[in-house]
Amino acid sequence: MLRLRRSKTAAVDGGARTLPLARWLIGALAALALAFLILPIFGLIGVAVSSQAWDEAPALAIVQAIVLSFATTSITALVTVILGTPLAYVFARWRFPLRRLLNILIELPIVLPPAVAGLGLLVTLGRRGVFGGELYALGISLPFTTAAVVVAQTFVSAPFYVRSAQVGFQGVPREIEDAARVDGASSFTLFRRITLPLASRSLIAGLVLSWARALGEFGATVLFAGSLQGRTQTMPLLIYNIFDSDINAAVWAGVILVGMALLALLISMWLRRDDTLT
Amino acid sequence: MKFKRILGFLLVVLAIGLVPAAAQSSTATPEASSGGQSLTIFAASSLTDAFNEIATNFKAANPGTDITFNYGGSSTLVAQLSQGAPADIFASANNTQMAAAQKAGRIGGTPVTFAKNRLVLIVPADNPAHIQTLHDVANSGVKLVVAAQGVPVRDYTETMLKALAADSTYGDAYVTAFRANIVSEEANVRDVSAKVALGEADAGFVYRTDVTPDIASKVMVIQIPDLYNTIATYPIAVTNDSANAALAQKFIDYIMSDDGQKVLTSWNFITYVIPPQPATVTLSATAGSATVDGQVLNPLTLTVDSLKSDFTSVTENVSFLSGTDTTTASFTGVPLWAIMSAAEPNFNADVKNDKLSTYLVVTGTDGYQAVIAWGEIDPDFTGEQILVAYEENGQPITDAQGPIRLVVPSDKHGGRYVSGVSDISLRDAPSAQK
Repeated sequence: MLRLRRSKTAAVDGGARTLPLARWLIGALAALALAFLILPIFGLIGVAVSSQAWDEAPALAIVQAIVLSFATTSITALVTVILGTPLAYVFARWRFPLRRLLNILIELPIVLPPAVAGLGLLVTLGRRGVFGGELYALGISLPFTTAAVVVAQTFVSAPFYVRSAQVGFQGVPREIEDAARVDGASSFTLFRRITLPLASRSLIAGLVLSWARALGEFGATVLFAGSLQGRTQTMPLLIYNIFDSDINAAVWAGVILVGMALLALLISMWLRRDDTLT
Repeated sequence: MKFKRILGFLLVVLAIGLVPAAAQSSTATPEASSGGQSLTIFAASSLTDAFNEIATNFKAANPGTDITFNYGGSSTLVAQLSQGAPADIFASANNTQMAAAQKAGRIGGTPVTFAKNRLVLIVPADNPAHIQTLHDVANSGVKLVVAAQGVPVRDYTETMLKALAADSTYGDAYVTAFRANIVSEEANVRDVSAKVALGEADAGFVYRTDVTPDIASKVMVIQIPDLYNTIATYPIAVTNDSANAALAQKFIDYIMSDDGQKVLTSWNFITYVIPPQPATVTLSATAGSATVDGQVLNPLTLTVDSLKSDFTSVTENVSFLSGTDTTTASFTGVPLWAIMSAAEPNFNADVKNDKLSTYLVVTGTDGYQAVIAWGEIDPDFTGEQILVAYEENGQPITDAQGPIRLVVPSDKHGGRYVSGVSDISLRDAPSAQK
């Protein structure tokens, strides 16, 4: 049904029957949407340049926030790969009851408001949370620690990786795996030599996206980990903390984040260059 | 098909969640009738509950008025205002942020102080870090939450820390340990109280008004001695571009009125109104006790026992002339400064050095009176150790007038050694007029 409609639209679009007025309208709306989506970024960069924001930026706080952001998102990425890869593989290949429902729940953090994610973490893993007592008995108190930042980032960003990796694993043709198995490859060799390399591009693209999401994490972190310079104050938290006292510094920190996010996006797009429109 | 069933299940879950919420919202605030005027009010987060109640009353008195609030840290609100956020009224938790809003050109009229507040220390009800006093906050391992730099409650916390650093019983080491215990700097004061009420933090500094009924059972309040505390003042003003300036002014007038002040005080704010003092002082009704009253927020009744138990006593060796003889004695009692701090002087924070225009009238049971200027006992000025004494040379005072005696160590004559102190009243000098 969906495919049918799309092909019909394509026919109208491509043909000469399209009214000039309609074309104008579509073009104008597209231009408006384009301006809306890119202007804030250019505004940020423009203000940063015109006010020479870097002059007044609290260098130490920004450096500490960048270091913290890189350190926490790197650990988050590592945790995501270690835990997310088996999860994605299981959901791509195994068949078991409630698989689809569980799959929806895994992807829920992607659309969940980060504040809700933070609240969920707080009432589950916080000191007074459901498992807070057990964690405390083990000498673990997560809130207000750098570990809490990683937990919050992993919770909201890992689903991006899992989703992409799942698609990647599903895209590996069964015939190739079967052929390898016939040739006597063990399960592990099969995974390492065939499945993983064939899915690697999806895996890496998903990881880059999830890393970018972790880098921008704010809501869950501020609720679950608090905000303290050098310990839990990542770049987005720093921006929120300083924007009311020093908007130029906040703008400058924002431009740095834009650059980092852009880089992540470019890497992700380059890796998926065949799947996406150029 | 399975998917549809799941979807149906989720919708049912959602519906169950929404029904009580919808029922609640329909009873809480009926929609304002259309066509009425509307006000947008930017207010410090500590004002949330009081302003919500005031708005309900105001809307009842002005049918058709629609009021929208934007609560946040005052510094956040100023940042939004200076970026052009539309607002009719700005209520700040300190004068600094109001001045910043004025500097940004967003304030129309002259800001007026409409309420006052005090800093308190709160800990979770079960007090996991065993915090009993301000001292314990600096114990190692305490998870302390404060507001971020620039938020008014943080400024007041910093003022307190400055006073603590200057005090030898706390000192710089205390402040260093205090800062090392900070685990989070929150964007506004309500985030601080929430983290303590949740039990995630061991202690936090908030206003006494932040201990709302919602969290009162979840936290314990520890008072900060007045020596280190400051009275927070809340200024309010109409913005420069209010579309409803007249209505906005009406709202402010309502807040300044007795009704508005009553709501604020019911939420533990301190009214900006300093009641006029009677021309006479009333002596303590009970023999052997002294009252502390006048321009104070927390009137006290002192007895020899309460002086011993509620305060830290000191002993002073003094000598003074009575007639032509020199009397030398050692008196034990409580510094007058500590007593007045406990009584919480209600100074007018908008008047520069208002405290220096105040004085204490000390009256004996026989009506004998002497005056001590505030500057004499204030450590920022003379800071003299004037005592409310109950022991002379290690023995209870046996003056005919009563067991409590004022001791002014640096006086040459004993004239201000008021015997049988019955009342200490804080008064303000008459205001100047042309």
